[in-house]
Amino acid sequence: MTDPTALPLSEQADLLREKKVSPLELTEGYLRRIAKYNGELNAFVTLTEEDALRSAREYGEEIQRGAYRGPLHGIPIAHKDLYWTKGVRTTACSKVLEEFVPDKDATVVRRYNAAGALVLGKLNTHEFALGTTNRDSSFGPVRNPWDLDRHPGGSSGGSAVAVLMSLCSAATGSDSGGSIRIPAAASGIVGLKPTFGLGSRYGIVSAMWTMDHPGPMTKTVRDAALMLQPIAGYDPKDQTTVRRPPPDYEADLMSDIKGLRIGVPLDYFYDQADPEVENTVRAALDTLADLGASVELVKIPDVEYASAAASIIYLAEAAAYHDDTIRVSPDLFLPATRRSVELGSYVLAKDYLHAQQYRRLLGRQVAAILEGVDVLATPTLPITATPLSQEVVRIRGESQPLRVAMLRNTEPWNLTGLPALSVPCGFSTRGLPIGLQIIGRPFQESVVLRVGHAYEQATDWHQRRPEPPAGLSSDPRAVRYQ
Amino acid sequence: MDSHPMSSEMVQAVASQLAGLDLSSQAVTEHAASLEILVKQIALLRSLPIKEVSPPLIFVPEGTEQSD
Repeated sequence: MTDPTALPLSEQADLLREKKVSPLELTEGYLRRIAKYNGELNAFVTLTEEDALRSAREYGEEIQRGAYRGPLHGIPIAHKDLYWTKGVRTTACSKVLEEFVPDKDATVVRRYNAAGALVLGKLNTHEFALGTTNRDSSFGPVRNPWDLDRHPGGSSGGSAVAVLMSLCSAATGSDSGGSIRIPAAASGIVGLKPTFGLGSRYGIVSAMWTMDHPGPMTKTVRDAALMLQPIAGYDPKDQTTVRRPPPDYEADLMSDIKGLRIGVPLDYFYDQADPEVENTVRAALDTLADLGASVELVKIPDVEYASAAASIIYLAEAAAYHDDTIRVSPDLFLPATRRSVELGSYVLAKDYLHAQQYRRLLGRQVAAILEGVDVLATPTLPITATPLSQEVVRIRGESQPLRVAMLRNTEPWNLTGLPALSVPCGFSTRGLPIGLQIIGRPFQESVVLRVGHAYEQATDWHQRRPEPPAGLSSDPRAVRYQ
Repeated sequence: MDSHPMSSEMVQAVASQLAGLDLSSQAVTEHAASLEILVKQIALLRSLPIKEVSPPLIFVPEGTEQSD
């Protein structure tokens, strides 16, 4: 039998339900892999080994006696270190919160616990989620398994690498400008930013109050559907969540995409991407057309202002959130984070309000386009993962700050709050992953997931793994990558 | 602000007198450099007619039922 840690969550769930694999076997398998690979990858920052083993035994007994809770029962997951975990330190990968041990769980964590998922530990993130590379963390950088000298994308870089390398079945991430989708694309996994208001942000350390979204990071789109289910729903502790019963996301994957209309905004999203990325994503659109979807060109009139508006909001909200700490203990922040937080102090209130007004303008323009098409499709990132030390990128002859380039295709969907999914759609000539981003109407995660699932069924990019991982020592006794 | 990036002196003054930040001279220099990009972005957004976008920012009273 294939090593069960290498399987997608959905297949593990079948094996657990049929009692062919126990939660303890899965958990021990992951702990072995973490012991072997985490030293170099640096995805986990805290391990909760004893709790995980105890939960695995308990859940195994529950399943044995027929008290099966559902597809997450006995599944080992891990949380981005922004998520409050009761009794387990939650640092946001910053010295500022080095000693913080929450006395309660985030709502999302509590819901996963109720669904029977067990927690292996906490995952590395860019400090306070204020960056796109996961290079700046108080625990040190996360490394991209496709090339250890490169970053895996961020801020949820630990989550992406842990999923890619089968160090856990699935992981949580959070996304305020692209922090789920960017590392998903740069590492070659699936990442979903749901609609703003679908999932509770209670108990998740905030990066930007009006831009934060919790979401799943997984090996497959089906796994993302399963992981989304407990997240979705009203939470009285987060009044931005909406009262609407979520659909059965996995069941909704079943229908095909024949006749579905896909809008392609070439301006901004494609014409300023690296040509290799553009060509790869265009090939993915051909695949979707072969599956029966119609592909139409669309234009979003004022999208080129998105970067300016998002930057103003990032800086102002981060400065407001960290205002107390930055004045009292600025040296606790890493230099790059400190600079970002301090820069927010120069943003005028009028410009922040202009940026918020722009969100409504952009949202209205996109809503009008989504009356004519069902989803939009773009490259998730205009580039592939860059070397850890690189600060500037050159795309089509034009130099720009790395951070600006990495955010440009994802941040419009934080500004509008629309659901956006990244799925692997190919590799560069250097062997680095490329992601396809699918954006939908508000609360139509089912449609976005259906498109991603259909694409996945027709391709095998999501099954690719670095083998052997570049730079990692080979141990013949170890379980092999799939 | 649209056409003149902030000088180091202005950065120092805003940081200390408005934001309450105690910056080293090196930090002031770094901020001034970073602000050149930010000032361009702010100027770009200011060029977009946005005053008549309606409804403007909405306040939702505490206890109001949230709906989609």
